[in-house]
Amino acid sequence: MAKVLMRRKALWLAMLAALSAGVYLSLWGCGTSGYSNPQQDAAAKYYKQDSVSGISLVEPATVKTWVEKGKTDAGQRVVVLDCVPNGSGVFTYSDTESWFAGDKAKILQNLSDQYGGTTSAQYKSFSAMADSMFGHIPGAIPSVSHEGYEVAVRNDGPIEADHEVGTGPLIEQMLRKYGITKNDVIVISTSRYDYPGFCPSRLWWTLYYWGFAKENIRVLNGGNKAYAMAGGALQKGVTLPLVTASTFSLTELPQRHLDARISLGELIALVDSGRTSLPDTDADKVVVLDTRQPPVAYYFADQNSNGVPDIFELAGYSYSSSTKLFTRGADSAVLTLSEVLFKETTPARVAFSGTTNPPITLPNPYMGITTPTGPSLNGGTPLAIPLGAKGAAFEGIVKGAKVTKTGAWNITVPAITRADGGYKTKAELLPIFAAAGIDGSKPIVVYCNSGALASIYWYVFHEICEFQNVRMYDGSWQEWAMLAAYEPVDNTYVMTDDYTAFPSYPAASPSVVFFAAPNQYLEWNGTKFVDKYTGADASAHVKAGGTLGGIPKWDTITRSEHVIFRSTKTINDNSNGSIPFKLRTYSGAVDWPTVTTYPNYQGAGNLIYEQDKAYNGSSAATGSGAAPTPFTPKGGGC
Amino acid sequence: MKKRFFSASLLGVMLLSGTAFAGPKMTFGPNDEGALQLDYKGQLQMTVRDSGSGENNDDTTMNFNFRRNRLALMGKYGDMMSLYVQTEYTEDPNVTTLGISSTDQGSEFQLLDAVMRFKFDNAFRVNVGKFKYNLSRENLEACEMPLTLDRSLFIRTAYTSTRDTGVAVWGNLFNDLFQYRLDAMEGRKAVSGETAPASNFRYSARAHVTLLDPENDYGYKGTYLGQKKVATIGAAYQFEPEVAYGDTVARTDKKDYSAWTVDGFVEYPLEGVGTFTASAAYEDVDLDDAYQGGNPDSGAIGLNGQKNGWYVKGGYLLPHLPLQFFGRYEKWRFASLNGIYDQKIDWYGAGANYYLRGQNLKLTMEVSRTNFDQEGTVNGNRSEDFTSVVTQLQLIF
Repeated sequence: MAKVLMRRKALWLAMLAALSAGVYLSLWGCGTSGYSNPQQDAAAKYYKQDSVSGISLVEPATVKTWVEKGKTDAGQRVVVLDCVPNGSGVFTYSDTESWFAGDKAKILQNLSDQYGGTTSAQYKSFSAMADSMFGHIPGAIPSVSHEGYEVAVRNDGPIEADHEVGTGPLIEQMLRKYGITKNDVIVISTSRYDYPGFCPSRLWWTLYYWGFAKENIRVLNGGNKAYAMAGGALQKGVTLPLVTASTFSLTELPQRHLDARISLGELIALVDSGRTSLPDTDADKVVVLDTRQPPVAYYFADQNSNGVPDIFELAGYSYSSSTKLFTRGADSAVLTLSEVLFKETTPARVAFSGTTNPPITLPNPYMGITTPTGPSLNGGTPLAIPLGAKGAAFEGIVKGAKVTKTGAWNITVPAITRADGGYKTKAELLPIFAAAGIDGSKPIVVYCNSGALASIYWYVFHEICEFQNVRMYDGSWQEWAMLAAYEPVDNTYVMTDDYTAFPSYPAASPSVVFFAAPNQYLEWNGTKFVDKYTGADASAHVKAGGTLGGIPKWDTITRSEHVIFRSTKTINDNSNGSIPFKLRTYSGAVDWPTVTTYPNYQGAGNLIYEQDKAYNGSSAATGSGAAPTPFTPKGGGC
Repeated sequence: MKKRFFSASLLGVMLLSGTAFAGPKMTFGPNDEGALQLDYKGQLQMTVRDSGSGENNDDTTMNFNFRRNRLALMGKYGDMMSLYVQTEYTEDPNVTTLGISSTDQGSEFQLLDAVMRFKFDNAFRVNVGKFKYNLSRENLEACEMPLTLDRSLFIRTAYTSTRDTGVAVWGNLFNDLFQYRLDAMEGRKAVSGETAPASNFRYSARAHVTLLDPENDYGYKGTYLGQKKVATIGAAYQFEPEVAYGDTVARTDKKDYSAWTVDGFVEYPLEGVGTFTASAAYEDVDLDDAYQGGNPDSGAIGLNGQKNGWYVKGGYLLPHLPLQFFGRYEKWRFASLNGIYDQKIDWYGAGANYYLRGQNLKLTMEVSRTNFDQEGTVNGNRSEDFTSVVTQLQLIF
């Protein structure tokens, strides 16, 4: 009996020990084993090549091999998209029947239309180009951005803005039309050479935004031009491949890269936080880069002090400082600066390039680009105010933004690209950007006029320099600068000078704007508008109104620097008629165009993000099926 | 007379082993071999949960409902054969384990148990019918006698509830030190190939070693209220082949079901000090990673789908007052729950039982917290942390 009791006691103790150990081990190790996430697994598999350096950029020799085989080395089907902006109706010929078709005569006709005759630098640069350099890669499909799929009119909350990222249904329609499926490799190129590659980079950004793996979307470095220079034969004519429409859905892609875009509301919040205006050395700095190619460096020295800027002292022309007009000596025809620069057939031009500035003598009374008076006049760094031709209520830059060219740095497109149009290498680019205080250690936001030129910088930063935190504000200036809760009372802070009315359609890069007079800029100091340089109260020259009807919640004038209003029709009509060039300043296409705003909108200003995040595939509710309406862009350039 | 007394005593013991000795009973047969007893079992609960109502479902939810509302008919004829039939009526159980239903769930009257029991020997017994399957100790514990307010909320397995239909063989060996159980049951209900890849039985095997006072019945209890000294360790395994499609649309990717568990239970009364109770278990429910399929069967995911987890609970019954304090902690990991992969839930609760008349009349109050590792609402399914307070009155009559 005692033995039995002893045995039971031993068993009892063993039992308690086992239970205690089990409980302890369970608590210690938390005791549950995890499960994989199929969505994450699929995403990891699909995006496995995303971390490969430079994976999204493909060189012409590789594409040539792919085109010959019809597939990549890994056996994936290759689809070449030839990105051009314009359909029919913008110039004499559409981009498809001119650039894509490689029809040199039509190309030159369009260049003449666009750049003002046959003597423009743009015209000449292509008129001398060999005919074999024009055309498209065999089998390529023309992708016309202004057909309205890739870019769309959308609303982040307070305004309907052009050129926003295409909606899910629109992008799906576009890709289905091209017969694209998830695992195809899309080579993105362009046959249009006067634009510095922003059509391919914008499409790449769009497809990346919607979730494509980098391995499946490749930018042809240098476009068709580089392809031809590398020995690839370009095809002539509008020879479209036989495409079977696909049933592709964006929902097939494991994730979206919505952070590649920054919404209006987010950018406003960044500006309001003050982070965009911090010095580069501050850890909280957010770098905002205005990528519009600036008219910097065309300062008007008057070294002989005769009252005429040296730059305007052109052989065969006389210049009047009072009327700011030229008179052609041959026939006494009166011409504006724009006409002299872009319409005249004689070489009445100032030699310029994208990388070299004319000599500047300071002080300079005509240096309208920077301060006419004040501390920075002598020895200060000239400021380049990017001026776009897109619809806007005012000009300036987002508060705290850097520009692409100053006296201290030059990061314009020509500075970051090769002679064949391809991008420079990471090793070449890093010191160029470092000079501008951009090294990837801080978040970067890029914008331009309509999110096209900015996409080049987004692509270079994100894909070549491999900066991690880069976002593009696709609304860009044509959204930002239409959110005006104020308007000018008089011409004091309005671009009234003829020469700020830059050419009707500026060259892509470098665009050029000449200032013949000291424009004045104003800024919001937190409580009122003041002159940028004198600090004088400018309130009397501004009144509530504008596109937001005086409701300031979404106003961006108060969130910008170097503000100068575009002329309004009212101001021009009511202005002093004795100044003959004033009425020519106003352009209804780009100055205060009619827009739809929602000044009392109370949300976060990120409706597009919310819509795209929630997009769950085409359906009747999401508007699939109906093709978009092609549009002709207002103004030009980016 | 002696015989009748013996029969009545035996009936009493048998019925007591199944439930509380409560409701009316009758005997029949020439020697009163037959006996029947009818019990009512009710658990009326008042639930207050800090979410689930209001336009954003962030307001407090208040609810009265019967957690259990049952009639049980227990009978036997002779020493070898007995019967247990139990019905249940539920009405709009809208307050659920993880949330509040958006619409009334409706009422249901069902035959919860219907089991014929045959005792050929203590070492060889057979149950036939609808009854609790042999996997976890927690599920096999009597619904009216858990240590805490209720049993684990996450212990159920796929395609069955707490009961299944089939045949079980079980018995006690080695002087009740060891118990074995084997069953073959329906598992997933037989459905055509449009829904499930096959129709197979589900097979279970369970064994336990019980020391001190034996646990030698088919059902366990969450507490013996200090009337026994118990120390039991058990383990079980369950298997059903080709139970679900990984892709229900293409009807491909056939998946097997398996589950295993280990559990332990200790209750030890100390004179003058009180009764201590502790219990813990681990359970793993595996559906062959069906959740990774293209269109996985809905039963392979969710609360009762692929998961693993454990619970530990403890109680203390005062020596001279029928008041028992308890606490329970559970940690579970779900392959896919409410549209979220690899979801983890931490559940912890504490409360007290006040035994007015033993288990027959018991008042219980429990405060619990349910924490989701990943909060959010996916496809309308809400996974947000919440706190519940439940007061329950249990009557077995």
